[in-house]
Amino acid sequence: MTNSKTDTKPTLNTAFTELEQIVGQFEHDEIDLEHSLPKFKRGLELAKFLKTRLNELENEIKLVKAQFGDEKITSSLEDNELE
Amino acid sequence: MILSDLNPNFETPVLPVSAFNELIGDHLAALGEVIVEGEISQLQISQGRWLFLTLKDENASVSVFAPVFKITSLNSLAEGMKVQVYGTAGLYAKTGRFSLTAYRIVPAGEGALKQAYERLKTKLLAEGLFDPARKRPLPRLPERIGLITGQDARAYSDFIKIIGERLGGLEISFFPVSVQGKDSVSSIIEAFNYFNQLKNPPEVLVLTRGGGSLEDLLSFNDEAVARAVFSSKIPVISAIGHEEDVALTDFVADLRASTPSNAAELLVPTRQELLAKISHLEATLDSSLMAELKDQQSLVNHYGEKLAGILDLQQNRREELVKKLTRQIFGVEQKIQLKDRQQQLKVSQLTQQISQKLLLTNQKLTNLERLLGTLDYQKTLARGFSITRTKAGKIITHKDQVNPGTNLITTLAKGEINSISQ
Repeated sequence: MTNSKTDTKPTLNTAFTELEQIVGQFEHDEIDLEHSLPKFKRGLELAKFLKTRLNELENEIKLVKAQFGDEKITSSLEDNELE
Repeated sequence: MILSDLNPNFETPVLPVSAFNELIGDHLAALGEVIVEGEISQLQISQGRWLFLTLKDENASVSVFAPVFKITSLNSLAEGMKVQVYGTAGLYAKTGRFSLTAYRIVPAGEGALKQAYERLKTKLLAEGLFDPARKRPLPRLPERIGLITGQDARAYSDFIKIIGERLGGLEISFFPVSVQGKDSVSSIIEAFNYFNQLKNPPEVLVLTRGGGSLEDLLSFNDEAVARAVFSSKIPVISAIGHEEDVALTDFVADLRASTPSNAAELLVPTRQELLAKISHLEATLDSSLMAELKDQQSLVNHYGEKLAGILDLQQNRREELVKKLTRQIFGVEQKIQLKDRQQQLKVSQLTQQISQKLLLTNQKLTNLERLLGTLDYQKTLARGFSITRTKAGKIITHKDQVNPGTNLITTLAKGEINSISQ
């Protein structure tokens, strides 16, 4: 999914916050019907994105070399599997 | 340089003072790094830049010198405190004064450590480093995390394990540091400097290590480390030691976790928690839209009914108007008809009147005829009367009307007699 404004992948936090805002607007009747359908659609997209995002199991661990060296990826999955 | 180098024949050389001092200095430097333990008997800071103290035990004392900026533990030091001084022996060439040049001074022994801890804690508290008001909220769902801990440490594996059990897709930048020992403080400060100078830094830093003695946790009670945590632009979670251990970094950090695992727990929610929240949000969204649509539907119905009412009303008014007009038109027609009838009546009345008059006239005429009949001079003539006229036709009723010799015509019942008067 792309964000219509920035075309960058939203973060968990931005997607979650936006979803909560949309739901909040619905709960407080802040949206007229003309805008509510696109907002509703956006809310469903965000929920779908978040669910897909939560399916990611691995965490990427980058080891920072001391002395401000380049980061390099050293390991990922073995310590992070689901129970 | 040793004396034999200067003179292979072992003849005692004559040395200028400066050369002598330099020579001794070189010898002392060759000793390399030393760690000397003793009690601080005198502590002085000169010009805010130089630290001078005297270190002693029961039998001896030695001068210690250090640049202030090197001694990160400076504020936790006090006279009477037992310390370990890390440094090199040296001779100040100008005066020939011997001293220990220190780069690290740490409290030694439980009592000294506690004393140092309390001194620094009081100072930092007074300075406002622990102020709850300055603690920043942590990002709710951080995806980029900077981890500062020892490599191959239990704290590392605990944190990575627990966070991996909770959430995936995270990017963890791990900066390995020495969590204890002489390089510990500088490596931790380096880690903070590294993360804070990044153009795209992590959203949160986790400073952690497992439990240990007060001595083991020394770096996390170090003033420079505490200040590095305080001045970090990135919010910091500090999780040092076990539940009961509270390092000074724990007080300074934006959030304190009791253990490395607890830091992971405080940092990110579990997938299950998030999924439940998302499902709840979805359900709320769904029901809100349904409610919204229902509201709109009833609004449409309401307006529809209102509109229908208005239309009905207008229809009724129109019908009323048509009826009224019809009535008016009908009334006019009736009036016209009435007038027509009245006129017809008048005409017939007139006709009747005329007829009657005609009849009367006729009757009168008949009577007159009859009267005239009775007055018919022929009949009178028949009875023997006659009519005398002049030639001109003028009827003579008196003798004086005629002169003698006038021709007269006398009409009888039958025929006429012409005569001449005498």
